[in-house]
Amino acid sequence: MRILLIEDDELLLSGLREAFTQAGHELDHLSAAEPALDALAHQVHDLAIVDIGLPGMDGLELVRRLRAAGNKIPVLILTARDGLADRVRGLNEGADDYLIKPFLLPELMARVQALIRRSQSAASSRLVAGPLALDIATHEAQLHGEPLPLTGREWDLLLAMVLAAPGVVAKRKLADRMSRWDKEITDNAIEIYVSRLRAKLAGDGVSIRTVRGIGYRLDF
Amino acid sequence: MSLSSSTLRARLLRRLWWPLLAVLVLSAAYDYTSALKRASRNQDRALGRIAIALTSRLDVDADDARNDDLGGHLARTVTAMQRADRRDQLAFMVRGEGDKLIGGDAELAAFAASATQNEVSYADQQLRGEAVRVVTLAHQSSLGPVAVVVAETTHRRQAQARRLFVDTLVPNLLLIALTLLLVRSGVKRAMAPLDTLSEGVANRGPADLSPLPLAGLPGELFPVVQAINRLMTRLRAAAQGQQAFLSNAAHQLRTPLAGVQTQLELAMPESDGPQRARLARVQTALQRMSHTTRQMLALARSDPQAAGVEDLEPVDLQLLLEDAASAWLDQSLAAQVDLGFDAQPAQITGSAWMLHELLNNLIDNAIRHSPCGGRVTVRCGSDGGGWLTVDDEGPGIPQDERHRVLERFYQLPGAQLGGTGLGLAIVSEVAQRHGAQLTLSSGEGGSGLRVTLRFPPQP
Repeated sequence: MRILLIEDDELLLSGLREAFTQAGHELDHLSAAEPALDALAHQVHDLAIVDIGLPGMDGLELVRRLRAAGNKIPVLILTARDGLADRVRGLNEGADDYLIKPFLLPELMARVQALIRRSQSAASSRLVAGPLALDIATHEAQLHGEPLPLTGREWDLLLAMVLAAPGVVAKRKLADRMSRWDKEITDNAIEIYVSRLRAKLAGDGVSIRTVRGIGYRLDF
Repeated sequence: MSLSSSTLRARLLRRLWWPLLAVLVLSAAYDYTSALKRASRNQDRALGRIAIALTSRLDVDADDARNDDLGGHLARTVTAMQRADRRDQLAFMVRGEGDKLIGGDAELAAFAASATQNEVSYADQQLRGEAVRVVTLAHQSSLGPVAVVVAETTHRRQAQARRLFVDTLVPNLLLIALTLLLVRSGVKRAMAPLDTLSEGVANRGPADLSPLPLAGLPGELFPVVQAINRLMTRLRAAAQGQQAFLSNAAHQLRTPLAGVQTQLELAMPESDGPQRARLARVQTALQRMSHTTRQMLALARSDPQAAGVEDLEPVDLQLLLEDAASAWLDQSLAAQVDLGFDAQPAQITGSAWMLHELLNNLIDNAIRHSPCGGRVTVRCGSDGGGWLTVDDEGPGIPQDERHRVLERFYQLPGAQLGGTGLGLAIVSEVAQRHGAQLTLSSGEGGSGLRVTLRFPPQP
């Protein structure tokens, strides 16, 4: 993947460059927002990571202008300020996710993967999560390249979990999703579907973790 | 409303009420005495006319030369002139030359001494143990000089005085009552803007630094309100300045922290042996520093003085818990703590960001103090107002320390694991800002710690 990082701190920049290169991504870098607008206009990048506190035009303004110009590139905002207002504004202006500095590298990588996964599914209807691949158009799932037969309910559950990863998906949200299959669905019924899905995924590098009392998370 | 001596209203009422009451009482007294005098003069005149009628009767009867029954004539004259009202008894006496009784009651002779020639004079006297009004008149009649005395008991006069008293008392009392009421309501109405103003100031939230409205205020209050508004503006500017400073400080601190953090994470896998252990210690210190930075900023922001910058909005506690589940799962797994939730629907009004910080600090504390394999459970729900609890199976907090741990930088004696002593202070201040009740207690089964927050009911 080709990622554009817009960040003016040298130390962070050099660290991130190394981290992304190690992870097999290509990282371009700019330290101000104005040239970033031009660079992103060429649409060669898969993702932009934007720091809010840039000299001159700030990160939020950059995102606003990008979206105003119709650019749909996924944007992850980095912010050192933690007022919720900043985050909400960021998301309102069209950013896809945010991360507060300082952060742990695995957290950043997971967010980046999730954003790329979502944007790819929008572009090609194909969602990839570790060894798992879902084709949203045909409702076909593959595990390690092998077809994975799923019932309609299982497909819906798995899709919800892949879309939410690396976040936890609440059981009540799963219940909402499943209501198109069963009018009155109980927590018990969801647990049964999840255990069936678990059995199908067992031992293949993807697992469903139960988060007590609230829901599930797909680990891969 | 109590009229405490210090209020402007009480002073005004006191200055108006007592003088007004005195004036009204004096005026009522004057009304009564003057009416009484007028009535008394009228009755005196009627009594005087009887005396004059007696003298003229003397003259007529003397001309008729039939004065053998003069006394009887005179008595009939008196009876004829007495009014229909028979409550009072009339007595008379006519005395001729040499104290010779011509007619009437000899007992009245004692009053004749004061009789003056051709002039009616009046006096209050006692006759047979009763108060009487006496009129005397000396006259040069055809029978020679005579003295005429007419006496009347005073029953009617007394009755009239009583009636007059009631007649003046009732309207005057009404007048007094009405005047005092009018004064009171007038003062109250005039003071109303002051009440509105003080209520407006008293009812404001600690975060509200908007100017007070000048519209509808009397001119006297303008300087006061303008001074308050100038103060509000300065406070607002100071609060905004503080927020800007915090924002800046956060940026200045956190960006290099992020850089160091990233570099350190990259260096860790490349190093080995004692070097790696050293880096791990640096990593731990760095985490703690990041945590403290975050907490200090949270405390500064939750300070009431910095208020007015965070907007209050509807917050769904259930969603807050679901977000926390995503955010804390990895940390709890790393600490081998079983993090669980029970999220029932609960809506409150508050600052989502502050509540986020509050919950983060509670979960962080709970995980940090949990033994390996311990359970941490976060619950929310609503029973009138929203509530939130976090339970852990750690050592808990002794009863007598529970109050102190809410202070900034206070740490339990023997505390371990590099806490900052700020977590519960943040929780406490955020709770205060939300008007929520914060309780620390033992967890289920009497061990561990349960932190409970009860938010006020939704309006």
